[in-house]
Amino acid sequence: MSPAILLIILFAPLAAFAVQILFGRRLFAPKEGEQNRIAGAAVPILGVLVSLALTLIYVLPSMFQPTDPFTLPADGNGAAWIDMAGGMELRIGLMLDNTSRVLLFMVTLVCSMIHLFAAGYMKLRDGLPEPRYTRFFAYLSLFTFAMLLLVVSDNLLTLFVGWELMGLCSYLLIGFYYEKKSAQDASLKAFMTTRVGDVLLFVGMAILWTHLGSLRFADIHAGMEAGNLSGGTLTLAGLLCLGGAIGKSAQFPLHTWLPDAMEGPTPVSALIHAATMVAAGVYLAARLLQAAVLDAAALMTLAYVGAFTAVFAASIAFVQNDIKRVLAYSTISQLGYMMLAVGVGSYTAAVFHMLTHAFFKACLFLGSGSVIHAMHDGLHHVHSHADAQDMRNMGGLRKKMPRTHLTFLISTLAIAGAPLTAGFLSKDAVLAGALAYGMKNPGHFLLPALGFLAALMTAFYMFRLVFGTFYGEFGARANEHDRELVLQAEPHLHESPAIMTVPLIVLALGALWAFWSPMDPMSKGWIGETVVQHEVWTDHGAANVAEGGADSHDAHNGVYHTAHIVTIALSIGVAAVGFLFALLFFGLRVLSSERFAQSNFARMLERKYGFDELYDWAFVRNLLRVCNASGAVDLKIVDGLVNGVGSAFVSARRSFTWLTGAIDRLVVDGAVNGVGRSLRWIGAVFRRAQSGLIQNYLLVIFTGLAALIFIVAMGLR
Amino acid sequence: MDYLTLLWLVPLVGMGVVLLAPKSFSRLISLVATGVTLLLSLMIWNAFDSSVAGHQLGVDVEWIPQFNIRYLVGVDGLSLALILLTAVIAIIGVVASWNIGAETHREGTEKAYFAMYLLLVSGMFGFFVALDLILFYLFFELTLLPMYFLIGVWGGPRREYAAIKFFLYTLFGSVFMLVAILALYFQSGAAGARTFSIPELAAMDLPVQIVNWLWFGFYLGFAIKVPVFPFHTWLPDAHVEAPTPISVILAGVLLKMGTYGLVRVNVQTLGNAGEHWWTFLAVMGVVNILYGSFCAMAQRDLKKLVAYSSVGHMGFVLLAIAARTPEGINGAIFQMVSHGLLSGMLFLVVGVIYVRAHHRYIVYPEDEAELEMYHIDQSKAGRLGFGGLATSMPVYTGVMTIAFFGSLGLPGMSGFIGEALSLMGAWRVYPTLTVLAAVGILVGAAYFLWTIQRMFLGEKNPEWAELPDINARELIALVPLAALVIILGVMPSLATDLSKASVHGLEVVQDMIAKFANL
Repeated sequence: MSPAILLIILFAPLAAFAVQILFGRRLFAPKEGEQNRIAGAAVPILGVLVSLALTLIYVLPSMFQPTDPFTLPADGNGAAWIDMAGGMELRIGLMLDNTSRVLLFMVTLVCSMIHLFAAGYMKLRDGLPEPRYTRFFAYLSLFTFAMLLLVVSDNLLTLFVGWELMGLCSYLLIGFYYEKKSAQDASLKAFMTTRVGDVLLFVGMAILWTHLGSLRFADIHAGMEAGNLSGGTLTLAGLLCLGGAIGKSAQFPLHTWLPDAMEGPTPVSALIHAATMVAAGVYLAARLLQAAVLDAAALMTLAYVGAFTAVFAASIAFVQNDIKRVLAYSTISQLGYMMLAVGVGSYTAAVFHMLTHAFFKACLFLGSGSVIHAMHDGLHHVHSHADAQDMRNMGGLRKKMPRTHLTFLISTLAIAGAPLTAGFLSKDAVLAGALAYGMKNPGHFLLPALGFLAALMTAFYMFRLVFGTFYGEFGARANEHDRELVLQAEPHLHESPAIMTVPLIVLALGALWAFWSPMDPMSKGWIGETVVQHEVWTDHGAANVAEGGADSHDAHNGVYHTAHIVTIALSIGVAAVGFLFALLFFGLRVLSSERFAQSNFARMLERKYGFDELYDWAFVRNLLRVCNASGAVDLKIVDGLVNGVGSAFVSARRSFTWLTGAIDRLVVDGAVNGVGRSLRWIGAVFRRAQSGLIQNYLLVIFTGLAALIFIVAMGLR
Repeated sequence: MDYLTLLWLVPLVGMGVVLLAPKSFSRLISLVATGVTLLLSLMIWNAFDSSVAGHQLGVDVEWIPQFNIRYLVGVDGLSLALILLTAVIAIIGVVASWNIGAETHREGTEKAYFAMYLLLVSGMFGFFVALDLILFYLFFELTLLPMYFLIGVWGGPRREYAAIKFFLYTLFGSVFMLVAILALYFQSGAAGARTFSIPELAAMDLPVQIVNWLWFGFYLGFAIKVPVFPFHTWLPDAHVEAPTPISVILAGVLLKMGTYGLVRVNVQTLGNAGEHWWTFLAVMGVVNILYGSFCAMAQRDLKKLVAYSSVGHMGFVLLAIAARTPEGINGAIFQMVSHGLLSGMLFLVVGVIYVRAHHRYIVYPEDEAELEMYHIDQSKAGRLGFGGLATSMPVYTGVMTIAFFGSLGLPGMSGFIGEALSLMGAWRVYPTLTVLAAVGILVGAAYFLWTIQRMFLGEKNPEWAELPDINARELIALVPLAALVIILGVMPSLATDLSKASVHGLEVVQDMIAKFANL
């Protein structure tokens, strides 16, 4: 593979963005009264397909076995980005190791599918041609570039560049329907909340830079090996960096932005707020683990944050009726899993779950998009204002939308961890790591316990979603006000066009077991062989986690092997229980959830434990209070003081004109009098300024200049 | 004649030509004059050897030999980037002033306007090339006069108040500076020969007690110019009243004269001042960042918001200077350039909407007390608020997005590099203050995004539905700045390579490197 290939993979989407944002509207926007054409999305699609094709040709073959990292510049030392003389340099470079390779594959493939899906999905808005169709795809292209940059960076600095550019794209895309207040608020909230994490990450980077003199992962790792950073400062650096990861991956307590981010168009939710950008937090955490920046305390914190978030978010998903919101909370929960994996030192499991999750979660989101698309059209036909995203207005859609249903079902099985799916393999790896950790450290039994509990809950709420959307009778649970019209919409429902269903099928295939582990289920599979924690550097990072990253597939590996066997049985068990309850409550409806829905606990869940209100009060309102107070202080006190001094000066001058006059006449030396003179002189000039005689001003200025030199000279005498 | 003298002489000659030529030629002459200075500054860049720490391309001749006052000019890494910035901002200011007469309702005054403008440009260039303190002071003062007129004659309704406030305030500060210069001169006699030459003074070892006093004297002079809290209140008034191009110059270059002065004098010449002064400076930097950002958030007038954001962003420069690390000083210079470009963009962006809508309220005042406070006609209340500008002015919105996101420190643009280097450089010296400064970044993001939401998003107000989008002349002014912001964000070495050798050569920086060598 030549450097040019990597650069083209990286920059093709950026070039597409530039072309699209500058010329897209002029070239491809439909004329008045016309429909949007796919051509409006052609350039960005071409850009991402170029990246995908090159990835498939050049990167895919070296993905399946351990391969040396490919670096640019070739010597692997990066190039100076900012040189501050005296050997102080900020160096950056690109690196493709196996982790980057699989992520490159995942990102280009998922992005391509979502570009295609969106080309169909985004054509209309409320029955009219989408006015910003071309711009939407420009943003998608920029996003793709940013994510690729993040994945191929060999250092925290360019990773951070990609990271923040994704934040920008996320902001622009969540607020894409910016006419709506809710979309504006959501975009602002997303940017600000993740930025809290970003600032923490940035301070963490400043610490690493101060102590290690480089932000390249390899240099950081080498510096850690040499013991240049340790103790409390190391813990602090690790936790600060993780703050960034927690913000980006919407982990507790910075989770509140992600559900609101569903205000964005559905393909955006699928791409950015499920498959790729939010996983970047996990990617960062994994890289930090690899570079040995996370010490035991930081890892422990992360593990608990992840495990807690997994259960916490799943519980909120129980009571959501908006299908995108259910998926949003499910995303938070699954990201919690990945954080848990990093926290217990299972690097491979974290990356693995990130990959499989990208496929099935993108598929689920696009599936929900396909459903919403159909519902929108149907409801639009009968002029109903019922919510097209509320699953109570749905039901029985499997007959109308067989392809969407099938792919959605496969992905649900995957996320629930049913055997023969990709999700089973990766979730198993995460849970096995957590269980082994719990067995080694019985004091932390809560970590695996929360992990298994979340698995049970996942199966439950996901099948609640499936049953509510695709099974039962259409519109049966719509509220009375809407029901009549909703029922009339049923004949207008239709399966989505091929440009939308083909991506669904491709992504659903990725949710199956076959691709990830073609051999027997007890083998590590290619992913376990190639994406391992220590592929580049020596074993130092693992020491922090007390062998936590050890290979649980090895029969001679004692507790890890046992944990793996137990996990397989247990995870199938809890998933089955979750499924069963969902079936009884929402499939067969032999049990009723009415009583639960009336309970105070359910109400608390509906209010998402009140964190939105809490943050709104604690941060937004109080910040505004501080700002308004500052503004008032500035106007009244700080500036008031200045004006007070000024007017006192003026009135004093008026009262003592005779004195100043005398001083002017009698004393001309010293800088103090210079001020007095200037004051009078300004007054005079100022009165003339009104007269409009420009030449006079100039005369005054030259005289003034001369006077100034004179004053200086006098001062020296 | 040498490049550096031509740099300030050409605008001055241009001023003369403007005065002699018919007024319809004024702007063209100004364009040519600033164009020539841009060319000159590029030639200086070309001739500059970035591996040399000391000043170069200099001229050193006797001027007033009785007092050893010399005409000493030169360029080094501390000043070159700012000279280039000044050249860029100066020519863009001319483009932005193209219809100044009509835009400020003072038709027929173009000749005087451009004469003042060129005098201002001359003063700015002179200040950045001067290495003799008397020369330095003269050019510092020289910028005051034209600025006073440019605000006082071509400004908004309260222009007279704003102009005189600006003038008196700066003059007040420069008195202290003048005293400090003289004291430094006499003090240098004890350590060798009396001199005003900055390079010579920098090489001297002056007693710390004296240096501490001088440090504060210079600080007062520069702090008012930057401006540093609590001397900042002239800035919002000056900006609000100044016409757009003058705001661009004011924020783009004039504020940098304060921070450049701190680097040139307080760091280079008085670097051995006591540690408490540097801590003081760092604290003031953080106060600027937080207080400026908080105040910005409370503003209703977009131009005032941008003015307060300048107060905040200059705080990063102060913090970085106080740190005296290589990252810090390089970062401070970078942040000055970056802020010059970005604040220039911001004020141009404000100007675009003001020229069209004749107001720039983020939220239009509604209740009576506010209407009175902002001097607004009752009949207009409640109708003229913005919102949905993104739909009616898409290109303008795109340019605004670059300016706003660049200012809030989005990576890929210059603002990020400036803030990043500043904070990275400050961490090892002032960790707690650095964390507080980082909080300021958050507030910065909040007020910019909130402004976007309130002005650009949402349904469009029918009142403004037909606003014409940004025009070609406005784009000519804005696009080069946007391009530079992105280029510097992607290739920061273009700027840091200029400054690195000189920064590395600073005595105080060497001390800091030695101090942290074992960390």
